[in-house]
Amino acid sequence: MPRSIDRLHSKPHPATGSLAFVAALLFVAPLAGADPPAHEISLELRPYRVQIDLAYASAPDFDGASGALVQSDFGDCLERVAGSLWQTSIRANAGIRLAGVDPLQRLRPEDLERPALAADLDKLYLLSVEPAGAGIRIAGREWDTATSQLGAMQIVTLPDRRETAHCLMKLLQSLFRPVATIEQSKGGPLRLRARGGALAPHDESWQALREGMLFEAYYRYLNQEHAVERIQQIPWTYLTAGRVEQGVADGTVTSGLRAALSTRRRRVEVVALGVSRQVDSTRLTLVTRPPTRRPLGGVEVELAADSQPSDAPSTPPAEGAGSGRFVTDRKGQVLLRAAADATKPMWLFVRNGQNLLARIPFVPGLHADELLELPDDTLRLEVEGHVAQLQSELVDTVARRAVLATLARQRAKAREWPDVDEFMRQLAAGPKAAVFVADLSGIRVHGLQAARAQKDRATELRVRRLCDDMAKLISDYLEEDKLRELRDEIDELKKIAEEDDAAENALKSGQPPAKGRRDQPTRKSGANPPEAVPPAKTPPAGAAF
Amino acid sequence: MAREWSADFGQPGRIGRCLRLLCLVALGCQAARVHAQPDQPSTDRAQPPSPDAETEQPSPEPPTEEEAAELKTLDATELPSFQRLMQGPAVDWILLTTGKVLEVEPLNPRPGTIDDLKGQIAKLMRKAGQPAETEVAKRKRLSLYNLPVTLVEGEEREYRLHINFIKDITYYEDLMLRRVDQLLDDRDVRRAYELLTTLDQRQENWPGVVPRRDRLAFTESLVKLAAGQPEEALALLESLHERNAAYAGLVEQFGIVVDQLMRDALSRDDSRQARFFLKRLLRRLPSHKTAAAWTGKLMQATRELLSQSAAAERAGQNEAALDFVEQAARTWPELPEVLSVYNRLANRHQRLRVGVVDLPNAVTDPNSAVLARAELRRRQLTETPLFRASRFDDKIARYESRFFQDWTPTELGHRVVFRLRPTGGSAQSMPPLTAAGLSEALAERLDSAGDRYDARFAAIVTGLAVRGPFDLTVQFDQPPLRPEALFAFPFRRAAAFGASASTSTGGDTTDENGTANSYPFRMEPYAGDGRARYRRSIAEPERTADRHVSEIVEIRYASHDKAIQGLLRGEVSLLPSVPPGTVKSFSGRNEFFTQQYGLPVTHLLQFHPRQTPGRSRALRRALIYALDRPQLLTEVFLRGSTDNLGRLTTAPWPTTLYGYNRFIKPHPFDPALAYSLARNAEKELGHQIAPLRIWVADAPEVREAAGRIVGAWQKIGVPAALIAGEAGSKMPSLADDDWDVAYRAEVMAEPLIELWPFLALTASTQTQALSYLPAWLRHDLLDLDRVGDWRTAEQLLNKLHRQFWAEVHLIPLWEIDEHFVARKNIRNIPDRPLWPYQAIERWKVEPWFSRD
Repeated sequence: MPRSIDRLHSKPHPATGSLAFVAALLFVAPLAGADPPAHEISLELRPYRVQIDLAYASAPDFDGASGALVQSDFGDCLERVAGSLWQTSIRANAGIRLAGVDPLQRLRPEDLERPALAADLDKLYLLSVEPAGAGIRIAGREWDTATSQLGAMQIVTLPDRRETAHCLMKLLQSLFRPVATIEQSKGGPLRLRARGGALAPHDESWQALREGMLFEAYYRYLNQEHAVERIQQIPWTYLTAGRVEQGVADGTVTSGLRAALSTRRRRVEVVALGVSRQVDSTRLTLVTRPPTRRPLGGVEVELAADSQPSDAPSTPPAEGAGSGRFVTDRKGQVLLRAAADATKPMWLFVRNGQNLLARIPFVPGLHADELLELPDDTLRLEVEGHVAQLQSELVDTVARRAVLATLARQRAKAREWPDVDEFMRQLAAGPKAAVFVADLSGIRVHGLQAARAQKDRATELRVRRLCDDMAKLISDYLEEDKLRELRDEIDELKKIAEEDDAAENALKSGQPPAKGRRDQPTRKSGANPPEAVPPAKTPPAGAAF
Repeated sequence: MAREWSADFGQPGRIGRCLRLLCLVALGCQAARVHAQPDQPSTDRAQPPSPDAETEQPSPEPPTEEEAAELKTLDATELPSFQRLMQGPAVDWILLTTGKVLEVEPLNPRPGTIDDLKGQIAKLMRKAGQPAETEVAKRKRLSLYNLPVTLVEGEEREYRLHINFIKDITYYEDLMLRRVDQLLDDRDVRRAYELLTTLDQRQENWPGVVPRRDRLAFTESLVKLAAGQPEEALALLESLHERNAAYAGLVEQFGIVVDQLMRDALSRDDSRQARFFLKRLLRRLPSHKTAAAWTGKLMQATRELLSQSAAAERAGQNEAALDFVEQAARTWPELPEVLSVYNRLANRHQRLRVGVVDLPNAVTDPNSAVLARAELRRRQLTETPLFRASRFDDKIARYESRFFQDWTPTELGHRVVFRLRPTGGSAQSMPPLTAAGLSEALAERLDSAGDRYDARFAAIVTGLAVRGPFDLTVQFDQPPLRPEALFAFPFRRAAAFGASASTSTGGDTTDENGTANSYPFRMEPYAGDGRARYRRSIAEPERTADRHVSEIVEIRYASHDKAIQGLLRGEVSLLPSVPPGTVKSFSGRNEFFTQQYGLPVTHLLQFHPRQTPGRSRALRRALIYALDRPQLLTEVFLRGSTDNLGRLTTAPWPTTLYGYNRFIKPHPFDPALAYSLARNAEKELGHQIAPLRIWVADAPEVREAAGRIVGAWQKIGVPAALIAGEAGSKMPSLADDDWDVAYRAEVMAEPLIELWPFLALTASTQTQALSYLPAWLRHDLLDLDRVGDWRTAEQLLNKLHRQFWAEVHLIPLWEIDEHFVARKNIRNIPDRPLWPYQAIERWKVEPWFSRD
């Protein structure tokens, strides 16, 4: 079942403002709902209260003494490795839950959310042991009461039944997700305080807090009685433990939110739950925001180790690689394979053309399914398409103007006036800025109206910006002054030519030539000369656009 | 102009002295004669003949021995060389009575100069009964005895030579003829021809020219035959026969040459050509023994072939029997026995011969969306899609299916019930298809882990349910606008065809020879003879009377012209594609019918999105403005045809299709603007544009057009070059970087389905295949997948059309109405088909063979 997560963006999302944020205090509220004792033990010294429900399949291997033996061995194993970290009770075949993978798979969080359970326990492990051919298949899931999170199922098949207890212990270790509190002072470092972090298990690999461990963050909203009212995961936010001292470590936040862990909260606890890679790949689904929730197919998704988007050309990912560029399918989905190192979050970039829709940290393999809600970029893309078409026509018009202007100048210097007149006529007949402005206005109005109808402020801003940029291009490159200057320049050249002809005729007839414009200082035309000297009949480079 | 002296003329001045002496002698005698008494005998040393009393010829004295010794005798005088005779100047030889040769400038009149003089003299002679000759008349008459000659050298060259000293005159033309004779003796026909032509130009109808011409033709035929050019030799003999049928040796030589030609032709197994030469001989010499001999041989060979055919037929080898009788028909079609045998065998095993200019590759990439024409034909014959576009009607391509009897949408299109045909008829070359088999094949397309996965199909189809042996229900997530187009893919899994399929082992099955099963025809391995053979996969029942095409042989010709020649000669019966400029030429020929395909072929240039032109819009616009497309279309493809068989286009789909926006006009030809935009593009890119690599298929006109496009782009400063797309070479794909522009010629019947693979250059329908395309195009293609009504489809295609035009994502060049030409013995070809082999299983080839 996909884990639904509200849409997030690198910028603070207005929708999150609807949530009741309470300033986080320096002290941490007790995790359990019971009144704290006066001399409270620090969290890092508190062991986990763990209940393990073993469900054996109905098989001779696990009936009677053999089952009890397995349970006993299992308990001993746990004791040997976990030590004081866990206060464990193991029950076999308790309740009506059946053994097997399917019943575990069908479990839902609401099946396990019981206040009594939360009061007594920190962790509940549901394990299943069943025969699998000549061997044993054991499966398990973890229920964390602090965050009300049901972990993904893990399955182990072992050929040798004598290893059952040991494998159960190993399975538990892989299912175990430590819990920590988050302390953040204003402007100060963030600290992770893990439950049982200061307790030293017999096996070091069972330590609750280790450097480099990755955590997800949750808000626990308390009522006036300090009972947990609601638990909500902080989306796209991960904490990485730094150097550990006595169960406390510095935490590094990697988040897609601008202010993931706000410090001003009341009756809100921030809790961290350790993560481990649970599946081989994650199916990420991109949809537009409610109410449409339209799948975003054809969108580019890039998974990279770096937080900065790359400019490398889009290439399909190499086989087995955890990173790469992908394109969502028709359902807006893309399958992201887990990286080798599941403790380090990667960065997910979602692009639609040149527009970056999202930049979030992501750990593939953490969950089987993830959902990412994004703004509907269709309108922006449509407006961009219209503007691009208009831009193409503008490019042609400007280039054509430049060509005609250059040809007119060349012909004027060669005194080929009929050609000059024709080129000037073509220039005058070409599209003017007003035409482009009118077309642009149509695009702008339609785009803005549509954005407002969708209440999409971001798209509205983008549309406005796109159209403003285009308008500037039009005004810069299609200003009529340049045409006027050209006309003046041509007129001047014509008059000079006429005076030259008159002078020549006068000389022939023996009369003194009249003083003409050639004798006067020439007025600067202001027109830009061509930047390159082209071949005879070709226009120069350096068109205005 | 100074005259060049040569050895032929001897030492300068010597001849003049001799001649002067002769003339002085002549004049002296004449003077003596005039002043002497009429009856007084002459006292000169030489005793010239007494003048006739009536003629009163003067009596000149012969030259002295010393004087005559300076001239050469005729034997010693060398015939002028070829070069000398060609270049001139002309010189006549006067053979004197002393046996010496005097070389003079050409005499007039010629020939028969002396005869002419004598004639003039005779006219002036006093006839009996006429009054006495006057002194003036006499002087005039006597002067005629002296031939004015001009020496070829010396200061004084004008002389008069008494005709009595002239034994003979060899004119310059005669010298040329002698040289011609010598050249022909040496078999130097080229120079002989040149000399003869020069002679003819110099003096038309000179006596002796005509026989020389005859000899020249004959000699040249000998030379040609010796040089291994017997056909040229025959032509020469024929032209000689036309002029002079009685020329010595002509008949024999005819026999020799034709014999050689016959042997050569038959060694190449070209009986038609052998008969052609034989006919030419018969036309000239009907009773020639060579003709009779060869006629007998060919007839005998034909009878033997008929015997072999009969034996093969008795053995049940109908195809081999047909091979023999076809060969017999080529050898001697006039033999009466041939016709009945041929008709019987050709009707039983109908063989269609097709003339093509390309053949399919032996190995092809099944995922490539760029298919050569030959590959398209191969797939039409060897693959059977569930649906195939069959006709074009009211702006839409209509689909037909060989499998389904009907298909009924229910639940507002979310569910479609497909009803399969239980039987296909005897003409069908395909095993029956059951609903279970079809369901299995469709399920393969839904399996994302399989190699036949179709992402588009899987996104739309949500369920399959077999309702009966021939009923299948397909559930759709969203009603497809054109379910037929969605199912227009071929089957490749033999298991889908039920248990009755032969050698069905699951997966891609092969027969006992390892040939993959394919329907309705299977392609035979190449035999290296420039032919591709396809045989009906499932033979028709042996005893059925209603037979259809069993075999297709594609014969490759070097060019369309050669293919047309093959059609006219009867080597092939169908040309699936002919150049537009040749269509009209078939209209007057009753033995053929010409048919236009239902959809035109669109030619366009497609840019690689990751290469330079694909990244620069300014450059793409420059490239399109640089092309004078009307001129290219007219000159390269239409070749002056005025039948409106081609037109410019602005979209990759036909102009007659529903999604074509007629308000979008082609970019005009504007080289100045193109140049300017190209320079702008260089500025944008920050570097000079590297030479563009244009991939183009191996088709003659297409390569010509592409070559001219390269030239047009080079004129605006954008270098470009063609990269070979020969048969067997890799087709362009977006994953490769070795091309920038691809010249494509495609028919797009339904852009809703076909535009995606066309742009992505792959048959894969996964969105990852579009990763190289711009985002706006990607989204539009996905929207096209999801479109649910015609109006939206049309709007979307119009929008795409506008965007293609604005972005110049590709350059649509033109579309051409292609035609095929078929001999009228081929029946059941659909009207206005969309593909060359449409409904091929129902075609019939009536027996026919060429009598030529």
